[in-house]
Amino acid sequence: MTPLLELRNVTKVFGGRGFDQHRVVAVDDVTFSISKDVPSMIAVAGESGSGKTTLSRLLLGVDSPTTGQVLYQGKDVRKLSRVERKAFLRDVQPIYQDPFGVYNPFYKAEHLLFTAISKFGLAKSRDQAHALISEALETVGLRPNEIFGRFPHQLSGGQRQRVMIARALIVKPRIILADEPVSMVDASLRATILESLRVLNRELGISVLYVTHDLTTAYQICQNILIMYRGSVVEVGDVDHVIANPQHPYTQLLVSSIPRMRATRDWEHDANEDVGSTNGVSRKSFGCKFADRCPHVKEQCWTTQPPLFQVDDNRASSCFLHQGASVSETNDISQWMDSKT
Amino acid sequence: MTGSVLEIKDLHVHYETDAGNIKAVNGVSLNLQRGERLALVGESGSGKTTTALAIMRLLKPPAKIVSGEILLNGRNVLAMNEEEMRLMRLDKVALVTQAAMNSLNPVMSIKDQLTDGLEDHGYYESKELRRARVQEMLARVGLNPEVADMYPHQLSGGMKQRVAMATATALNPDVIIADEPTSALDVVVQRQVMATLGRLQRETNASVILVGHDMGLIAQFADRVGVMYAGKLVDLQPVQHMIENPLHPYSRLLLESVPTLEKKQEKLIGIPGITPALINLPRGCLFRPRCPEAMDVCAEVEPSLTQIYPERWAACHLFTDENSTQETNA
Amino acid sequence: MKQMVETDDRSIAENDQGLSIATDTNVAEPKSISRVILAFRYVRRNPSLTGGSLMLLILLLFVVIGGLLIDPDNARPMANRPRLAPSAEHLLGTDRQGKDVLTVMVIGTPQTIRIGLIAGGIGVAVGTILAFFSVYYGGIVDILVSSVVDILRTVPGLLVLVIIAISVPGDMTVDMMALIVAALSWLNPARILRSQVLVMKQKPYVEMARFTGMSGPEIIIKEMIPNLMPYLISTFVLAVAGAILASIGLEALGLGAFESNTLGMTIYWNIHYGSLLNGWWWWLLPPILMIVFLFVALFLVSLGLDEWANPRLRRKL
Repeated sequence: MTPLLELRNVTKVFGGRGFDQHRVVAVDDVTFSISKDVPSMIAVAGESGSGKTTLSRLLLGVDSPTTGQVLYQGKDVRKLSRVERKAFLRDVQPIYQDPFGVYNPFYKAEHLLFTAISKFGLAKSRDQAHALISEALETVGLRPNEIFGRFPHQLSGGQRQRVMIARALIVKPRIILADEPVSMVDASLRATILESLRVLNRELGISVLYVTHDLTTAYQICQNILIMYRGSVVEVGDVDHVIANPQHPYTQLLVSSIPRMRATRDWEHDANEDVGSTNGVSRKSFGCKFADRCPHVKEQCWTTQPPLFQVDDNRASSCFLHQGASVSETNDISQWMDSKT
Repeated sequence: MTGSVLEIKDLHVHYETDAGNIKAVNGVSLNLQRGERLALVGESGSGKTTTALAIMRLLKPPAKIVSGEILLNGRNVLAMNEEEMRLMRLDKVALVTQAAMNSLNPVMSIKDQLTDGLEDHGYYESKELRRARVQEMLARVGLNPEVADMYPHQLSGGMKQRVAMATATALNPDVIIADEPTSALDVVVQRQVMATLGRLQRETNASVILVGHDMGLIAQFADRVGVMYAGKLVDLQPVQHMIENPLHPYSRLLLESVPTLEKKQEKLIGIPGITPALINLPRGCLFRPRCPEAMDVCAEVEPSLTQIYPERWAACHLFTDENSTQETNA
Repeated sequence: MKQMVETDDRSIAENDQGLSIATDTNVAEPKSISRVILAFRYVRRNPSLTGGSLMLLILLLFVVIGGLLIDPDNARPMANRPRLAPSAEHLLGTDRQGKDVLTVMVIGTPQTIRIGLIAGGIGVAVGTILAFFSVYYGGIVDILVSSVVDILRTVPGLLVLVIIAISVPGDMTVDMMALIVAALSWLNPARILRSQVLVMKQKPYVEMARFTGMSGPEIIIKEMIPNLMPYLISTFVLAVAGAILASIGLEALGLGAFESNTLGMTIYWNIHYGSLLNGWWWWLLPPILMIVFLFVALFLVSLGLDEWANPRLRRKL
């Protein structure tokens, strides 16, 4: 079955040409497929610079890979016919982090929704469109008379973000790529918005790719997670296992750094203040990217990039600590993702 | 040495705009003890940042401090003139913000920036002494000596934030105000930076006001937590009590909406409704429209912050029947 | 579609105690006000814009009312006795050629403004098209267009215009003057608008428009141009001012339309007949003052528009 979206050995490099000295490998040889039969909720987690945003932009077709291919229903997204492209645009919808920038400040907030309806031919008349929009707004917990007629700056951040979700509801994509959808929203509203994403997945069968740096929310709403570090996937698998029992040293570092509300108050005291972005060691690694920060680093790590070792049924980690475990032929990370809903 | 190093008494701050007066802070009162870490939690529009900036009188028009007193070591900050205020900043009270790391001058070396503020406070030192002082400041925040000669673009976010903290604590201020200092940082770096801040606080016995919204962070760092809603303090308790037993319905709902790593929740619940527009404040409690426990009296009378149990304060009518202590100063 | 997420106030009403809570939710902001009223309110708060606009309004009244009151024949040579000082019959006196100065001002001012409007209009139109063209295609096209614009801007404008003016066959007319000045008036607009378009291209809502399947031209017209309005207007005002200045320069040098009574031509005749040395102040001052008035008005308006376009310049309320 052709997957809905696929990345095949995709690498994305920024800069490095001409006068631009600063060459950054944002995404490093990632292979990943998203099925269209089973609506999944996958988290792409990592810190800034991990490449998670670039990954989602590649899937959206906004950025083009330097090497490798991005495929929609088996066809390269750069080579889609007009009709195919229309279908692609409809099937794959983004939700951005900044709930303000996506609105054209000149128009009222509903402009975005009406435009989507007219471009995708989802209603035959303005009245019908209006009704469609009202219904979608109510579904996400908004009151239409509080949204219609208002300019974006007159709505709160949470309302704006929910309108974006309503838009996704109207367009009915097959997958939503949500990049930090709640980081700029108030704490009390985050739960509501994330819950509506979860409901979209369960009730409408829309897959969600949740790009975030917040492991806690990823844990709460997603089934599978992939952890990225400097462009590579370091750990992938079922979210319960990855969070409860992280195998990769980077994941372990991430999980242990999260301050917990109900835990003993040692978070501050046990912190190693002096471990900055480098371990004090200025050796450049040609192998594992985490070598300079890893407490378990071995000589091998500096020279060879570790492959993704299968750690258990639904988990893989790219670390030589697991040497001896089986390695799969393709490095398509989705094979380690649990596909039960 | 105990005693209040900072006292805020009935502070009111308005933003005067065309559309009307936005009442950002509506009668906030609190006391900060020496060496205490107080967290101010709230969402957008709660007034927490406005309150913090008011302490240093860093608010710009259209913001206006309408009434109230802010006593720093007994002196009323709001009555000082510009010159006295200027001398107080950095010396007695310092600020570290989320944007601090982006406020470093890109064309000045770190060592120059660290000592920049000192001259304004009368510290003119010889080159050797200055160099030594810079090294000391860097070591204090866990940065290597080489950093002194670097420029901001060479440093990572966490390092820049630590430089900001070094500047802020250079003169050992009595109060350090940290407004979301780590919101823009990675969770790993956040932990390091907060650990540094914590150590600085312990070494100098300074008081810290941490403004933020990350309950996990606050639970781990703060001694006392004040929850703000629509410009008022609604709940003020020692941190453990706040986490285990929030008094005000808003704090309870807020804590319930925070996702945890402990176990997976069936359903994520937020707080329904939206924060009130602060222009025409209705009568009664401002949280009433969203409050699951609202009573008739809530529509008529605004609850004031009262001490319900020892050291535990809340502004809610649910408690005023039970408890008769009517002190109104935290 | 059934309710998936509870609407805000409904979930409050369904609480344990079954109390009916008033369903007045607090609104984020008052209901939207018409755009025209909002614009009006803003103009009031912006002194430069208000001042400049008022001045332009006064100018307009002068021209319109004046136009109803004067007799255009008075502006023809030898219509009156020349070199008369101001009197009841000739409020601003007459010039060396016997034209009534006030009539000349009433007729000539709109002519000058017309040159500015035509040349400014062409300049902004061409500049906008080039800006979008350049940014849309990017790469080598952008580099080429930008280089041409930047190089041409360094060439002394008046010199180029003089050469063009001399080369044009036949007699000069006001409209011809406008077209000649337009030859260079697109340079600044192209440069200014290119930067604005470049910035706008990065905005999330433009990217969002792509996800809705909008084509390039559609995005430009529907999404980008409305937000460029402040810059377009501001650039237009500056282009008008620049065009008027250039035309006055050409006219003062004797290259203007001799049949017309533009401000520049009046200056030319003043120089030609040495009015300063002859003490005919009533002929020399009006055009100068009018030019100053016009430019101050245009400058204030463009200053005000700058503030509107760039909210960071806004004075604290």
